[in-house]
Amino acid sequence: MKKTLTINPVTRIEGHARITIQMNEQGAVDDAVFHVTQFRGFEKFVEGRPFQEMPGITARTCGICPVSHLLAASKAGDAIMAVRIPPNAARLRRLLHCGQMIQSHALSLYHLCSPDLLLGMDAPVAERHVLGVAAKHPEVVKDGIRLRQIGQRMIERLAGKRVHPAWTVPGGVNKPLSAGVRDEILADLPEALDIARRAFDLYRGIVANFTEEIATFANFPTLFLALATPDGGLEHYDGVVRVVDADRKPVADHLDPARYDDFIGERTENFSYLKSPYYKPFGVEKGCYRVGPMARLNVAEHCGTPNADAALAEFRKLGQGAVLSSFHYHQARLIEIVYCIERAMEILRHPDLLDPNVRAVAGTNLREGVGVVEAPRGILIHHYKVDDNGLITWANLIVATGHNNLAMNRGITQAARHFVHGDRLTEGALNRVEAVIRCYDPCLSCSTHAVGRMAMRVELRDRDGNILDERQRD
Amino acid sequence: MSANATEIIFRTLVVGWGNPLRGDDGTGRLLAEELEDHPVPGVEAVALHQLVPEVAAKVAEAARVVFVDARADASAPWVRLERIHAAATGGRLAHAFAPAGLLELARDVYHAEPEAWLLSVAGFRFDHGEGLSPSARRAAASARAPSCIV
Repeated sequence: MKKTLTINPVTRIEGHARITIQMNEQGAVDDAVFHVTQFRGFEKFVEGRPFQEMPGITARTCGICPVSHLLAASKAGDAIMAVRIPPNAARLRRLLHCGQMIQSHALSLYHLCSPDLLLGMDAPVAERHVLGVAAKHPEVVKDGIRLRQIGQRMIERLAGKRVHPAWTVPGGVNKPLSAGVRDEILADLPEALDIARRAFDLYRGIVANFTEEIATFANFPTLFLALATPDGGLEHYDGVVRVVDADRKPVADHLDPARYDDFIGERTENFSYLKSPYYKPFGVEKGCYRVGPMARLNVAEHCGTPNADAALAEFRKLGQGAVLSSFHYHQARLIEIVYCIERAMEILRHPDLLDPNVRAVAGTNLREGVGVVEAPRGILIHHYKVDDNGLITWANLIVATGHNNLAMNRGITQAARHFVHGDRLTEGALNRVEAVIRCYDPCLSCSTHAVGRMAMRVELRDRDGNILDERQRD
Repeated sequence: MSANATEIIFRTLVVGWGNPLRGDDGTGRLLAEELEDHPVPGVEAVALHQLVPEVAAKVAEAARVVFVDARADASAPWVRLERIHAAATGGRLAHAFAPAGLLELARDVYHAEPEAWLLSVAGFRFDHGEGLSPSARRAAASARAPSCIV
């Protein structure tokens, strides 16, 4: 009899999702599917709003990575206004984005994935969470909290609020930086770099414990897609789109991000609210690509800051061409933390950083605008159409996590085939399938979280949907 | 102990959180924002979209913490104030934390165990949309008194 195993919800990710594992008559895994079970509908309910409000509205898509939405929406607004924002406004937006990357990557590494990495994939579920890590490695958790604080304080000092700041606006930013704030931010960063170095040392010491996971966590060839500087450097805020294959050979380069529709197709599935984008020239079957930290490092020729470039050279040794196992997203995140700290230091020392010219002012000059940035989890696209009064008539948001949807589905299938056997999930197997998803740090968006609403439930069903076994995690 | 240190240790922290685009879910955050806008001596308010781990560092600095959140259960009493303690929350931990998990983090990482309370306010509508429902507004009005008393 064919059977279905369901992991619902997937834990230690942002948002609500479940995994279904299809078993065949022989008790082996046929297929696995990642379902995103929440629907937010932002694209629909922003219709009729002025485009100037879009940064503030879309930033509320998420409490973890609002800055990325803020920036993408502001850039789409820049395009509708048909302005080139002042150089210092771009500099300040980049700085804000560095804070976002640091805090978001720190959350993924220290709070969501450290239980797997430091306690082990087979650690008892009652201990396998950040509180379990805190009990055994309090200094690591303290480092994680401090690193996130530094990133969050950067955002708060620049934008006035940690969550949902409204500092960046179409045309630039609404307030220049003061010398006092610049110096406060700069003073925190050497400590952040020390923390990142300690994290690297720790990671190097434990990664050898995960050879089986590295071999089976979405370890297959795909394309990799990310923004890059025109000369192929790591880029988070602007630039061109670059696509490389599993050998790191460029498939496409210098693509205009605003023309994403030329090279990104989107397929919808009846089992998920998350769309499945693919590289259009290759079609759905061959067009599976990955985005996010590992993709960005596979795409980039260099980072452009000293410590990050040294770490990138080490990262290159993990693959023959591109690094393929999604387990290495963790290491890529560490490298990007280092990069963002170093990049923020560079920006903060720029002689023109206090230039008060930070905003271009204009009305609705074009009826359409696209804004693209690299969010912590990958490329984020905001595309708006407006009427003569600048009111949104149509919006399309392709979120970072969505780009990885096809790869996540293939990845959990690979891991499930290796770790799941028979008709029962062991805790270790269940956790490893979930851990594949966690490598991508998917951000399915926070929704209602009122007291008493979060739990972990695992169901084992036969092909007719009858529950054969279930397990509840409180 | 310096005067500055005394001020840090003997203060009350009010942490209100919620998503204001999900109707009554935003109640806790709204109440905390009111306290931020109208400060009460000895009380620090933090308004958040969701509970995140670094709040544990602030929790550790307080003598007393009041967590304020919307409650999906709309039964009476609409406003509940209950004592809470550090507790492992296991699989519930995601990007968002639960108050008991933050208390445990404060205890294990910073060796601090402040007195902690959960002020939960009944919610009636959690669909997409800004603003509280009329019933939640009344419940929030009732909650203002105890949240200010602390």
